[in-house]
Amino acid sequence: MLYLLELSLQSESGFALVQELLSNVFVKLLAWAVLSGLLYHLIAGLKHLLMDLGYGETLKGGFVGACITVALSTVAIIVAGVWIW
Amino acid sequence: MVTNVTNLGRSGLHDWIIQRFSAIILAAYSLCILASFVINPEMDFEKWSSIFDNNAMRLFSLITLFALCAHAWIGMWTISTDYITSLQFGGRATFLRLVFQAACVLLIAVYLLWGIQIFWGN
Repeated sequence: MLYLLELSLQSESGFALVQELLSNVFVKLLAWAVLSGLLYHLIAGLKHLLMDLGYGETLKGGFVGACITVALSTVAIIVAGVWIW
Repeated sequence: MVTNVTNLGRSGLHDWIIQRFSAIILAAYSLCILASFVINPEMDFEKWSSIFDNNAMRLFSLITLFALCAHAWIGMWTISTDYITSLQFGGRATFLRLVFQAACVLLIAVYLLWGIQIFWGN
């Protein structure tokens, strides 16, 4: 990801190269995998921050929180997939 | 009891706070980047490089880079002390854990310096 960032900021041709790279299916798959990991981590992390504030600490709250996290992450990952493809 | 030798913070609580604080910075930065993609869907080189030209965004990116390194170090340290234990690997666990942690820290240092070069270099 850093490599793509470096290329894209270097120059006009670098940016074009990134666009070309991103059209390759394998690169898209890799980017999607990394993005999915990040999205899930971000959403689950936000849940943890909420729990630190005292919300959802009961058994039921935990369960509800987990369901929301998984649901939200799935939606986000699908949207990311559509956006990449 | 896990000794606080290779962790980042001065104490467990210090790690805990750094982890949360860096998480908030990382979340904010991620949302900013996401917003920038949503706002101008047809991103071209001018727009993309102009985002990182203004100094505020460069500083925000570098701060986020430091937050990412702290977040990763604490995260990986927590994982390694949870899973690479004598219970799992027997006598050589400590050696394995230290090798794992050294590799993580080295990788984090590489990303840090590489990132600084990207934002500061050109």
